[in-house]
Order: sequence, then structure tokens, then C-alpha cells
Amino acid sequence: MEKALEEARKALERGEVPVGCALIDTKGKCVAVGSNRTNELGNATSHAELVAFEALGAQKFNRGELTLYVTCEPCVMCAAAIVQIGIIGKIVFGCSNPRFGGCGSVRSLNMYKECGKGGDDMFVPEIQSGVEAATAVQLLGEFYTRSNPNAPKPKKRRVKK
Amino acid sequence: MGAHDADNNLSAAVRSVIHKVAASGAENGPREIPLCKVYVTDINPEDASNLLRILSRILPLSDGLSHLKRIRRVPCISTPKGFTLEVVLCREETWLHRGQHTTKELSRFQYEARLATVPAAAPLSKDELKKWGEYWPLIYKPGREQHTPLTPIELRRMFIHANYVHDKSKEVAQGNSPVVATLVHPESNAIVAESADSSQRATNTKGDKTIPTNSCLAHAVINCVSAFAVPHSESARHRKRGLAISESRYEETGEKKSPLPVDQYLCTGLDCYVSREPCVMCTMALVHSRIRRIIFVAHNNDQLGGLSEAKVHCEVALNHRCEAYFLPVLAVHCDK
Repeated sequence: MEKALEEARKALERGEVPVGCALIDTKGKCVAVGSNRTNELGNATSHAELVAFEALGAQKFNRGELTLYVTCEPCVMCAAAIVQIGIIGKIVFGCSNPRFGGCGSVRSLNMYKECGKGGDDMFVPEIQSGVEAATAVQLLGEFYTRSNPNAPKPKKRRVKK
Repeated sequence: MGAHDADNNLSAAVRSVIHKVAASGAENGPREIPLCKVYVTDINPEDASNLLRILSRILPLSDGLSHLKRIRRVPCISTPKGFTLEVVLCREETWLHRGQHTTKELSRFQYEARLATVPAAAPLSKDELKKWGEYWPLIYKPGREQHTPLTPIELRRMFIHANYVHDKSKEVAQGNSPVVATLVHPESNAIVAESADSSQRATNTKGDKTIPTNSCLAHAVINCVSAFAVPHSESARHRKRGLAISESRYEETGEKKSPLPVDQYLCTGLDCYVSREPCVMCTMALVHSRIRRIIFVAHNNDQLGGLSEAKVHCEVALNHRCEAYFLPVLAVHCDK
């Protein structure tokens, strides 16, 4: 989790939403790290988790072999990616994400078990939450006090009479 | 037959098969009435204002019953006024939990509660309001789920783009899933990005039980969104020059000017056409990218569908929602 937080701090320095992650194999070796790069790349799919998966390159792993440590609950997109890539056996995350969370907040991983689709390709990992959550929230808090310079200005809400 | 008639025929044919995918299903005609049991009681009209004040404090209709009117008038000849009033107390379950506290306060009115069946959800159209309202008077807020019908021009364009990804998907190299996605700028009708699926399915390597991580997630939509993405440094540079990012791309290729605004943020305002319903990951990628519409040609038998099944595109908890349409181009029969 220290590695993931370190990645998140790097993301914050680059002006990104500070989320970082690390992929650890069964021997405790870190095989890849990733941090959010959505602003830098102008690509909404460049979340920390997907960046880390990209960094794995063409390496091969067994089903459910790796543990994913991520500072913030993976969003619906990343959770779907984790299930489909099949190599993640366990997700350990810090704070939960009520806006986008795909591991219990907005959507749950159960829907992949229940749908009966995906076949042998997917693997639904177990989840541990709340690890170093306070630190992760603090990092996010630091970012949002600065606000995302690239996001479009929100529409002003009409004041109700 | 003139070109005009042919256009009209095509848009009519598309309109007859296109299917909007949304949370409620109300957009494709009337729905089955969802029902639930609530406790109601008859009251004396004289007590009404007093009782309603108490009820709004001790049993507010906040637990998913806010679409019900609290009180209704029932004609009754035997009473002096010619009617009685019926009041909703609460859900059946709530009554079991909280009944004891509330009966104390309600006992001085000496009413007897009984079960009644009422619609469990708010009506989303005037037709539903009329039909469902026969169970119990309902509150109808128009506008929240109102749907502007697609124009004939939109329908024709949607058909052409959907047909395009459908045709292209047949050309995809073997070994990859035959899925193609495009991003379309709706005002100019221009395709601004196009990608095919380049993922290698893990099933190919079933024998050794290992999964190649590379490009396992390179689905058509993800590729398409990434192809359209412009690194921030680059976009900032062009912004300074007052050029749209893609304008410079068009400059390089010598094509006409880009239709996109200078401050294009991700895929805001664009439509995504995809030959097969996107999976949850791809749908969420499009929602993250602030897509306007997703149109898909075929359902997804391999993965959990992000639209028709997981309904990620209309999830109110997310910061962006978009429209989704199922347009089976092969079902469109028309003299083109």
C-alpha cells in the first residue's frame, strides 16, 4: 500500500487526481505500479489500474495470481477491467468511492458472478477495503482544494424561487 | 419514387426498429405496474389537517413512497359529507418496525389501519399516471424523464453510422473479436475516430492456464477513446494557438477544417457507434469520457452488457449520463 500511496503522491504533483496502485505477486514482489494520468493524456481511460495493466506488457500470469493495492476504490470501468483481465485475485483499497466505485459503491462485483457471462476468462477477486483510507482521502482532499483545472466549468444551478 | 420519399421511408424503417435503452423502460411504451403494499386508514375529514401534520413528522413518505399523494377522497353516501378520506400511513415493513411508536400517537384518533396495494414507483408518462392512478392518486413530475423523439435526419444518420460499424466489423482480422467502434461528431456528421477490437482473448491460451496481460483489454471502444485522446501538453499548445486539436490533425492531412470546438474536453458531445454492445468497462470508459450517445448494433453474448444489463449509462450516482440505443441494422427493411 505504501507503493500505491507513493504513486498517488506523484500523480498529485503532476496535477492529476491522486490515485495510485501497485500489483504484487505471490512472493510479495511488485510487478507493476500505476498512477492516474487522465489529465496528462486527455484520456478518461488512463486510470491508475489500467495504466498498471498496460505496464505489465506481455507478461503472463496465472488466474488470480496478483494482488492489487490501490488507494481508492476502483471505478466501475476499472473493476470491470480487473474482472476481465482475470489475473487479480484480491483487491485491497483505501477509501471507497461513492461517485464511481465499482467494488460495492455504485456497482458491485457480484453482478459479474450473477450474469453468467464471461466464461473462463474472468476472475472475480475478493475485496479488502479501508486500508490507509485516511491517507488516501487526505491526498484527494489536497487535490480537490486546488480543483481540476481541466474539467469544464459546471453549469450554474438555477436558484429555485 | 423521389429521393425525398426514400429518405422518409428509411427514417420510418429505422424508427420502427430502434430501441432506447434506459433504466425504466418507459421510453419504449407502457410498463407493467410495479405494486407494493402500504398501510392506509380512513379518517374523519375534521381531523385531516391535524393528522397530516403528525404523520409528516412521525411517518414521512420518504422511504420510496414520495410519488404517492398522502390523502385521497373516497365517495361514501353513509357519511354526512358524502365522502371519507383515506390516508397512506407507511409501507408494510415500516409498520411492523415502527408501528408501536406510532400507534400511541395515532390511537387518540381511533383509526384502524389496513393494507392496500399501490404503485411502487413514480409514473414517468401521462399514460402511466392515468392507468396507475387508478390504484392511488400519484404525483407526476413531467420533464425528468421526458424523451425528445429523434428527428428523421438523426435517424438516417444513425442508420448510416451503425451500418458502417456493422460492415467494418466483418473485416476485422481473425483471432480478434469482430467489434468496431467509431466516434461521431453529431453536428457535422463526421467520424472523428475509428478503431477495431485488438484484444487477444484468454481462451486462446486455455491449455497452459496463463493469461497474456498485453492487450487483453484492448476492446474496440477503449481503443477508440484512446485514439481520440490528446495529451494535455499538446492540447494546451494548440489552445494557445487558438486551434482545435483535431484541426491541426486535419491540417497535416490536408483535409477540411475540424468541426470540434477548441476546448473539446474528452469526448463531450460525441456519439459512439459500436457494432456490439459495449461491456461494462467500455461503457464506463464512455461515461467517463462524457459521451453524448451510444448506439450499438448487436447484443453482447460474451460479456455483461454495460447498457442493457448493468445500465451504467443511466446510473444517477455517476456524474454523467448518456443516451443509449439498440439499432439492429439488419432488421431495417427499406428500399434504399
